[in-house]
Amino acid sequence: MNDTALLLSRLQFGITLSYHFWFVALTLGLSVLIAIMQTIYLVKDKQIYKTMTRFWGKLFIVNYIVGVVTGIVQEFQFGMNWSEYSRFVGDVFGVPLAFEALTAFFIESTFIGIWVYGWDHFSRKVHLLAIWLVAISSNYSAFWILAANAFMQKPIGYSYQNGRLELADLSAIMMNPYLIYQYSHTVLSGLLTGGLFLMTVSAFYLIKQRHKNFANKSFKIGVVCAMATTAMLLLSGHLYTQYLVKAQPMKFAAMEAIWETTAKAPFSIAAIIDEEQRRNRAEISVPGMLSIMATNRSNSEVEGINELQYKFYSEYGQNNYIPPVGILFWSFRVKVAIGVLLLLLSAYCLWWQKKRHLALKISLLKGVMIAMPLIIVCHTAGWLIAELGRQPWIVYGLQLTEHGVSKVVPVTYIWISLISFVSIYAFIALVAMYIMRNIIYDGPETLE
Amino acid sequence: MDFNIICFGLFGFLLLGYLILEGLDYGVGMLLPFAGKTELEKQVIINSIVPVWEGHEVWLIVAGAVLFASFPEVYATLFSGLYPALFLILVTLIFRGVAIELRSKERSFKWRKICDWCVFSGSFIPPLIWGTAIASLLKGLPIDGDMQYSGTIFAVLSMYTVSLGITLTMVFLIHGSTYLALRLEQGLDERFKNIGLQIYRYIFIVFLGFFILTITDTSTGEKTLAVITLAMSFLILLKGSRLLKNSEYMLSLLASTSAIILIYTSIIIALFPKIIVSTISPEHSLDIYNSAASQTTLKIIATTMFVVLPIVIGCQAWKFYMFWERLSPAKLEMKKLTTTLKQKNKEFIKKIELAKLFSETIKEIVDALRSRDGNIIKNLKPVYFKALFRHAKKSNCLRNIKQALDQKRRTD
Repeated sequence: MNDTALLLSRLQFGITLSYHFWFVALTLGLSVLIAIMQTIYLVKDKQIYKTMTRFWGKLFIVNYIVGVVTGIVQEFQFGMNWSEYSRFVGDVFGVPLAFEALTAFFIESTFIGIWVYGWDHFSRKVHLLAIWLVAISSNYSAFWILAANAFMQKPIGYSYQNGRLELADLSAIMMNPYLIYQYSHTVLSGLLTGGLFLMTVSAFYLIKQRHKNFANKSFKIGVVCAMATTAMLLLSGHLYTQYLVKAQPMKFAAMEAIWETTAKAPFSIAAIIDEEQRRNRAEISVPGMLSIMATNRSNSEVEGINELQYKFYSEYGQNNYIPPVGILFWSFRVKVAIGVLLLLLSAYCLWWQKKRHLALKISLLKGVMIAMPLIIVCHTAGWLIAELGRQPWIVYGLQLTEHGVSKVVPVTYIWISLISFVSIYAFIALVAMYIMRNIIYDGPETLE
Repeated sequence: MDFNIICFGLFGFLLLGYLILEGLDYGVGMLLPFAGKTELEKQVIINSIVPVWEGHEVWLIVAGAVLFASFPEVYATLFSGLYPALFLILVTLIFRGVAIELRSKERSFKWRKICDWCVFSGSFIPPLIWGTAIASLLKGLPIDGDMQYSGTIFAVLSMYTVSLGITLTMVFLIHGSTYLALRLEQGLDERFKNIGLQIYRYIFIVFLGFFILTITDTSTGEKTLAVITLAMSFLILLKGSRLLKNSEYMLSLLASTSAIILIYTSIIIALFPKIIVSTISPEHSLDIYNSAASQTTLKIIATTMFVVLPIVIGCQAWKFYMFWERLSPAKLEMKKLTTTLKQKNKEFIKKIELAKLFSETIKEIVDALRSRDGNIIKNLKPVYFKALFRHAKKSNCLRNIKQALDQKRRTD
């Protein structure tokens, strides 16, 4: 019975988290881009930038609201499904969450109303300040949320007292090296999502030959943003992974499906993984590549899953410490492949944008339109790696996931809530997409 | 300094802020499908909360996070114990939030009707559940020695707890209708005044029942201060109904606000220093010491709140002030008309400019024809050329040009 409850709770949390992040990522990036547009409007005083701000703002708010309502679920779930975890780490983990709510979300949700409904009530400068505050505080709130997550990945700044973790050093939690890698990666991916969103919708207009001036200007902002961020994202992803080699070797080994510790480890492009036998049945690999990627040296050793399992076993006692290797392995490959693809796509778009022949490249524009689903796959894969790679730990090295789940919640309740949440999420996603589609079809409110 | 007390007080303040501010929106939301007779009226009603509701709901989120950080045991016990209740709140709040924001984004009648009912259920169910849940903290929940909830969800339900749920819902209804009477005009203020008075008539019966049950069912009677506070809230409500009758909306709103504060305070006083009373054994109760976080955490949270809360309250008050205007269907219609007029105006200006360009083009052509230099197209400026041929299909101008050219050829 407890196993079912654990599995369902994990499913519910994972689904809510991924779903929440699909919308949040866009909020993070798009808010900054809209703030930039409005700043240009204030400086240049050209109507087109106001049209842009208003139009993207309309789409932004639809996306924003879904992010907010799922955020409440996210917060309440810690207590509802993971009460033992909450008891164990609440003293430390709750602090960044409370900081997020107090210092970031409070401001964000106060000023979002001012920005969306206050076009006529406030002076232009105050109104601009409102969107900047929304943009900054949403990205700032991501910092605290990820600080909480980074604590689960790499516990730091705590002391073990009275049978639970207690806060010892808040600045250590803020300066967690894991957080630095994770935060830069997340914020950049948010910006990339925002840029791709601008590109996708503008590409649609360019294909349909509508609102050309508007679409060109938006596309330009989007493509510059996407180009810059994909390049930086690949770099930050690389550094992040190199950091994992030291911080969470098990996660890294599972991502690469390296079972035995090897020097000059090969990088597998594809592999048939046999998790029960703990080996790869077949693989296509580049010899020595992984060692170079992981440590910049070709002859360095990469620790394998089996050795790490033995190490954990001697340190923490009998258990299976191996995360689901297959999912991690493939998620990582999908993520990298999409990243490279998006880099090429945005570089190619930028090239044609510079040549001013973009509108003629219909097939390229059609290609741009699939970027949005791809980035969502990418986000999901990223979170799967981050969270599944941590298993079986809920707090790395300190608490097992199975010990964190609520003891008193009957399985029936979790079944009901899981099914309802999933169907509600699906329904709301459909509604949001339908409304966004209508807004896009209607076009920016004024004709050019 | 006892940071446990400070943190509990500040958490209480956050929850109170949520009840007062969201109470307003809940009241308005509950009235939305019934009180608005036309679509325009409904829009006016919902417009009174649309820019501010999110800034109100955030108080709940902040209260939850602060509870998590400063009293993790309470957070864990309560949220896992009352799983189905919180689940219901979450579901209704999801639908409500989406409905409020997206209602105006679709024109169809059906969509708006669905949204109205989503807003209604999201405004009706949460206060009912919160009221019941808060009352059950005082009435007692089956908490065992491991601080685990060891009963079914039905342990929450009793005459007393439900009566607080109903009372709270009704106070929110009064709160909302008084607010609407204050914000609206053009006859709508009278309507909401009457609705408010109607609810006042019933609330006294419910409140009396709640008062009696409080004394008989809970330990409130042991603390005179709590009883006095509760009695005062009754008197304030009486005064509120009098004020509403005299159309003193602002003061009446203040009265309903103070009623919420007093009811809430009386429960907190009765509880203190406990947070959840255990029905199994008094020693198992969770209080502000055995369920609290470490002193370091409490200190950090308390200091942050002392810095942040004044700023946030200032910002929200300023926002309220800036959005403060009396709303009415006529004004809304006017606004909509102005927007369409502006849009039409813009389109007209564009059309006039195009017409100007067009006439200039024609003039150029005629001039070129007159000068008989033979090369008409070359003389045209590229702008005119573009304008001419883009719109040529729509008008018969192409034919005119052809005719002109033919004429020229003939004369040549």
